Amino acid sequence: MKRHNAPTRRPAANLKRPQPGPSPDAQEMAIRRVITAGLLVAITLLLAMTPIGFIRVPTPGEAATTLQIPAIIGGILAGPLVGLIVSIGFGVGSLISPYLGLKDPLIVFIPRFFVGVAAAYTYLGLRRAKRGILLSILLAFIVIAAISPFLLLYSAEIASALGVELTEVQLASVEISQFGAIMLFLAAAAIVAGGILAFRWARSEEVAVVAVGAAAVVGSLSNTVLVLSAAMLREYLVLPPALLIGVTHGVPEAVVSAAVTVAVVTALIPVRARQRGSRI
Amino acid sequence: MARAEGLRYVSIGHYMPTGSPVHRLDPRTKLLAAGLLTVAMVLANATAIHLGLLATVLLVAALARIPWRALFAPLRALLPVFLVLALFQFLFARETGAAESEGAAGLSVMLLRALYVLTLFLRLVNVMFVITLLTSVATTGSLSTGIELILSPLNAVGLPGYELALVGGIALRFMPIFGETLESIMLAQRARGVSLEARSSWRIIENARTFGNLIVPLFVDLFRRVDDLTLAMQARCYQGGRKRTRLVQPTYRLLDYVVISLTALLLAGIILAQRSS
Repeated sequence: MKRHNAPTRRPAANLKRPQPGPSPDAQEMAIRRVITAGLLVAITLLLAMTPIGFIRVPTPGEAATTLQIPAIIGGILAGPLVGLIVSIGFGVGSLISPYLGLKDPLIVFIPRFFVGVAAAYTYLGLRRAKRGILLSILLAFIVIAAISPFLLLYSAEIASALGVELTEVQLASVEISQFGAIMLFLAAAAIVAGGILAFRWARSEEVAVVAVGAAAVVGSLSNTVLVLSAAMLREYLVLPPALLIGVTHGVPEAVVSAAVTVAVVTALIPVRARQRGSRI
Repeated sequence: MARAEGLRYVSIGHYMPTGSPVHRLDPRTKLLAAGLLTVAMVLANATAIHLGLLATVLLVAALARIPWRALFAPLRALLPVFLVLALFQFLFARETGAAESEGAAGLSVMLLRALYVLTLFLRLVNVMFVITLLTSVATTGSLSTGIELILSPLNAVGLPGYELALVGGIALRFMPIFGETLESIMLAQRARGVSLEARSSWRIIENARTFGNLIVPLFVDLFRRVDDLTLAMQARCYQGGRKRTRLVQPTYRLLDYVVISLTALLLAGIILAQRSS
């Protein structure tokens, strides 16, 4: 009996196709995309409803989420459309999850739409990049992460030097206490240290794999940044606690997302190499 | 970390066929009513409105003869997380518009904040109740059908309404299946001596590694299922949703129109009340 996961064959050229329409390849890809999206949403919802979906972190928010990982994997392996659909599922999951307290859709629903899409396009953009370019981009991010605490601390001075007028409210919102400044520097140091480790890892891996890791980090960070920005816009949080949450949740989330995504994709390479239309 | 047993029962609520008039509503009505109520809960800021919505939900649950135990069960898992969140809000958040409007002279800042936190809590409870209620009065199959019918106008505009509804249906149907898979993965890993216990909060790397041990096999299983399902659907000549018909066609009846109109009026009323306050 033919093994069910052997590659399917093309129809012979002289067989009349029963219906006009898309070729079997396109149709099979369409079905495959629908099914992939559906199953990934199922896993997202499952993770949302069980304690597995969260990793405990010692902060007031109590747990970093891992719900964005199926959306990221969907975006990388099946394209931006599937990434978008699973990201919407991620939003729904975060709304219905009994483990997440915040239920305002403008904060936990709409900003999360972009996770899968961001991951997908990052991966598409990076996977065929030359190694040198990839490493330069990574270096650039490390440098930016190192500089950003200074930018934030002196944002008022920078704005006046550039001649930009800031309102009272905006000035007040970027005031950072001494404690906050220390936290910022620690966070930047941690990010730089992590970045250096990531750089060393990237140099020893194939470009495609590094692209997967980078896409996962971008996807996870887009979740962190957009959700916290929305929270600040809706006045749930001011800047210092938002930054605290962003660093203490966002960094572990990004690291875990990258690790799990790379592990899943590399585990699947032998499986997918047997199929047509593999994206790796 | 959760125990392995019991994960297979994870779904968003259990269907309870009590034969009430609520159960007999068209699935689209249930979905629309739940959706409109959720929007109302999200938009409302005043504590009084949330209390009113809570009363409405409890009334519907009573009409549907859903036992209170089923409704309140998810809350027990929720409470510790919410208490921590509430504490955080208390210490750091600024007062928003509603709290300011309710805060005439004489109410202290602490009381305002407490009221605000209470509103958050009520909103959370309300949304949870609506979702539990929805899944208690409708089977996942009928909800799938409802989603497909609601999304069907999208097909006229060129968007893939059928496919989106299929995504939702597959997701609902496979949640308990993946729950079972996760259970067997946990047992298999435990049999191999892989630690599954969650350490304290500080040992993030270990917790992450534990998580990875469970998740990576789950995803590999997922993509294997993708292959199986694709082949199965192709073998059944699935051509997309365009020409598919249904064995049981849901139809609207008088009660459906009544329910939808009442819910829409409720939402409109809440929006107007918010505007004027």
